[in-house]
Amino acid sequence: MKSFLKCVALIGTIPLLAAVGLTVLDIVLRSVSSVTVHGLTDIVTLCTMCGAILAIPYGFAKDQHVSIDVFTSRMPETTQKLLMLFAALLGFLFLGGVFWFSVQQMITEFGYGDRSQSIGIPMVWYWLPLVVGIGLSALASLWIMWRIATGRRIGEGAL
Amino acid sequence: MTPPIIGLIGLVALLLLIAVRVPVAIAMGVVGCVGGYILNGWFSLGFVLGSQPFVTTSSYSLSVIPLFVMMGAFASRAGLSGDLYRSLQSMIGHWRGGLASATIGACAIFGSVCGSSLATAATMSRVAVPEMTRIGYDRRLTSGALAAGGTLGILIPPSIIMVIYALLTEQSIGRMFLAGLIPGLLAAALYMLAAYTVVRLRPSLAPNVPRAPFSDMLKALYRMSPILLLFGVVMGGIYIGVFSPTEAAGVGAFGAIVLAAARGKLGWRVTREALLETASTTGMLFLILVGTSVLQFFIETSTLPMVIVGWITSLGLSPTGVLVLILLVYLLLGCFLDSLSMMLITLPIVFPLITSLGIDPIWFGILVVSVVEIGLITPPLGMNLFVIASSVEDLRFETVAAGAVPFLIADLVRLALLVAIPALTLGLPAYLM
Repeated sequence: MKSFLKCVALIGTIPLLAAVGLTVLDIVLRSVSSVTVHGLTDIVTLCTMCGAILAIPYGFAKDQHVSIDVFTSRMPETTQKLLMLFAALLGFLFLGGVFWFSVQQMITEFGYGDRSQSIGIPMVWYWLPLVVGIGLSALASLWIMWRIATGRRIGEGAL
Repeated sequence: MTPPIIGLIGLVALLLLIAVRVPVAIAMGVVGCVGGYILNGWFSLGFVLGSQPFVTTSSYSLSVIPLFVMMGAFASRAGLSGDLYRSLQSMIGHWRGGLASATIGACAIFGSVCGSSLATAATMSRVAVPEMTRIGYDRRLTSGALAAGGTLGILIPPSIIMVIYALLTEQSIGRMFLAGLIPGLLAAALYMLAAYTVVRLRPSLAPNVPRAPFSDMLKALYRMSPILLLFGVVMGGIYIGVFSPTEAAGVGAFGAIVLAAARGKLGWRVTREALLETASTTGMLFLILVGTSVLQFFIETSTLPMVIVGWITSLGLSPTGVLVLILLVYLLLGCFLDSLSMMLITLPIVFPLITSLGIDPIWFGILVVSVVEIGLITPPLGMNLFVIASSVEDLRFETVAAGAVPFLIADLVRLALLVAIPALTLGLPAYLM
């Protein structure tokens, strides 16, 4: 699971690199000619969604999402574990909810056949990274619950 | 129970969840869901969960975030920090407490392309601590200068936190960056003054360093040129109007990658590390934005912000009085909350108040970034203090915290100046845009 999520996050950065390349290309092209990269805004937005949302589950695997442990770090280990389990459960419920309702909305928009404004990318393409990233994040929360429950390490040390 | 009371209970629940180590984004999302369900019912909750995360994350303007993060990730691995530090050392190292000032200056310049306070503090500590220790600088002064200098990463534009503030409050990113320039430089100057004053009072803390030859200073300028060029292209491009902030971030990321490649640092391992850092930071920021979007919907429908605006207005305080009150609350929160979370949790409440009082949102934004930045060096949760303490062997957290005190005083002086003289913040954007 952990290697898989790392892989997903790394794959997600490829569109980000593409966004960098296309942005620079667009600036160069419009500086020396009247040509531009058609639909750059749509493409960069899609690349950003892929890079950003696909990285969210990796943050769970690394225990890197912002949390504050100044009050809990001095509590007994068992209490800390229970609190981490509670946090992972809330994460699963929230992300599971976002995933479920986003899938419903995506199916509705797919039915409408909506497309992006400038180059007509089907809007479902924008929904896919969101539902995949959030769905994997919900699974990552379940995985964390399992690891805590079975006494395994989570976070950086586990990777 | 009235909606504002439910909103207030929601905020208390949010703080409680954060206190028991629930990730901030999840805590915001859960409170937003439960509160939204109580106020508006199941159908509305389904609509919010199915639409808000998408609407929030599918905006082109958000592309600026991962691209600036990528620029910082590659810039911090391009081997620039060592050259930068040595350059400033040869230029100002002979001043009283000069190496502390060189550290602060290097942090300011490095932070301008890195955009992250923690990364600035961690990166600069690796080059500054061995040198300052070798010369015999006091450990408190060394670590305090580094912790404070690191905060310049979010104060000197381009800064991720400024971008997020601008996006959430629908302000111009370019104006935010311009507005942050003078306060950022003022912060660096006041930190240097603090280091000078400390050493003036206790000369034993910092041995004298001989002045470097003029030729060394010229070489130093040359060594600094790549990073200054990158900063100049990114910021200059925005203000001249050659490109938008998002394009500037793309150009910056490209420049940082080219710089790392030109310096022979762009191996597979470094590239992978930089990309993973970009991914994890971006993922963390976007999840927080998703959580914020759900919480914000709840807070708005609870009408709590309007009730607070009405209550504050009824107190009869002047806008400046309200502003000072808010900043004091932020300073207090900064001791316990992470900087980004603090801003995101409070903005839905505070921003309507600020606009209703006619306070300039850009000015307020810079003040918020300033207080958030102060929170990075205030115990018990000053993240920069932790970063410095953990990156230097045998360095206690208490030592770093004590070393940061003079710089904290400099911060409070700067904050007072920024409140008293809005032109320090608003003058440059008014003049140039």
